[in-house]
Amino acid sequence: MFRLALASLSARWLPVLLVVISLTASMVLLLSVDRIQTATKNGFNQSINGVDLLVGPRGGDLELLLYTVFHIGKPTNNMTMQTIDDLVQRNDIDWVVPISLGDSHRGYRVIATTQQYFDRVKYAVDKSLSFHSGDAFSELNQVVLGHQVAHELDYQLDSNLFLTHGSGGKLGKLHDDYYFEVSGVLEPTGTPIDRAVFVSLEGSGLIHLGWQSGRRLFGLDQVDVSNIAADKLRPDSVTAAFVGLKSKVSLFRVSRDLAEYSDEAITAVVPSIALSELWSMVGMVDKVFKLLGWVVIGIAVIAMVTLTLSTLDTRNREIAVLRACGASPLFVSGLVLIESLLVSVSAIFLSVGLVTIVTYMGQSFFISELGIAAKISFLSSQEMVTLLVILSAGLLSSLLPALMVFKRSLNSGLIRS
Amino acid sequence: MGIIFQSLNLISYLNGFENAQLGVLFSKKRSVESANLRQEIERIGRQLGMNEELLQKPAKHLSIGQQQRVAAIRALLGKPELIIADEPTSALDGETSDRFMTELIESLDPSTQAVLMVSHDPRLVPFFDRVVELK
Repeated sequence: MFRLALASLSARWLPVLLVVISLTASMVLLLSVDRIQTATKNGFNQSINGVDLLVGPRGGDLELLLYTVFHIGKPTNNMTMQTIDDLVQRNDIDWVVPISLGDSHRGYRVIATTQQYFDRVKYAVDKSLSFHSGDAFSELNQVVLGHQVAHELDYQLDSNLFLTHGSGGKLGKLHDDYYFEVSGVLEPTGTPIDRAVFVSLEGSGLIHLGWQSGRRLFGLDQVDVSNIAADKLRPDSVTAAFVGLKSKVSLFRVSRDLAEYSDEAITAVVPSIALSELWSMVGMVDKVFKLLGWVVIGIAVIAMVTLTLSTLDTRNREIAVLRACGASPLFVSGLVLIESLLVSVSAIFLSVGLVTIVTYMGQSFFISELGIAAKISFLSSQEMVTLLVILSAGLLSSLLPALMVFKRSLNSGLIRS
Repeated sequence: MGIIFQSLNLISYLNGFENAQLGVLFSKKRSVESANLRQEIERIGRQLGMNEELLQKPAKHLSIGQQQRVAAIRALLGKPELIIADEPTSALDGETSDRFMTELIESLDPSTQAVLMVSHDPRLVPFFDRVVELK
């Protein structure tokens, strides 16, 4: 029976091949949407890791998350350095990494921070930042580039660059009186870190020395840079701070404490909670894609049934000969079922194979170009369910032609042929 | 019981061997041990003038006469007691039809097998023991 089905299919190889291809294509679509969704969701929720609390000036939790983690939008307020110092003093807080936003370099946001940033901030599942080349900044005039920045703008170690005041591309004024030197380039992470430029707080303080309320009062060429006292470079205020706790147990107590901090209106946000809030807002898009994928599958299944039905007429004689040789109606309809089973199974294997190969081959590409860390997995249990649903849909839909074959009387094929 | 039809008896994408096998595939009485199946098909094939090479070809590449022979092999396989034939020679010319009939009758076992045939062709009368004319 199986061999007969196979022979029958190979006798009609062209239309069968087309149906297999269309089924495969739609399944690849569904599977890859599924995978991209999982990967982006994971990537998204792991955009930042290792940080217990984001502390910033009072405002929306999501805003704080957006500008500290995703470097989107502008902070409306700053928090004073005094508050940062107070945070460091608290004995339930392990470490504090202040960050200061505001400048940019050719469209990429500049993050002024401390060296600790590279040790403390993690991404994905507990991965530390590592340097593709060079090292963290140690001098005033050094910058560290995210992978994409270095890649797109073609910077190497020791390249020189100016920073721009403000975040908006060409509108901002260039800090053209002081240039920075690339001291290191980070490995790709698949997070917004890839698109960031890092300088030290002091370096940022230096280029803003002659500035007041967004205007330059004097240029750095008018002062002796090497002679400025270090505490003068330390900025008075920063945008926000990443905070690590000594014990996760105190997470909610500390964040409540900080919300009631009396000297300044600040707020503390747990990154993972804010991230999942944000995801629930942007996650709609891929639901739509998934729906589309199912629609495409539906169309492919219909195409398969159409093929089976349309060939039934031409196969009248074949079926009649089988019946005349003593094949039961059950056998003939089983034959039709097995044929569609073969078609769907081969489409499933093809699509799974294709998707696996593509994710395997394109893994580094996905991380560096799209920032998506696709996990190499043969099949997740969820995908198994999806494929089973498709398989049973294919089988169910071929019940119709099978039933028609079952009901067709023995003589109809032979006499009219 | 084996059946031979007027024409277009075979499944076009199967070769002679496979088409012949269909004769016993669905029948419990007409079983041939699978080890002997191929030899049995070849044996009947030889009696009907079909060599192994022809039996390897897909049915659609065989001539009509050859196709009818494969159908005959299928009908004879497993020694059915009765073979019903519906104008098996109508698609064949006179000479081929004669040869086909001779070969068919010769391949039968006269003590256990019988052929019931319907035909318009009076030239086939000498091959049969009993002839009933339908009017």
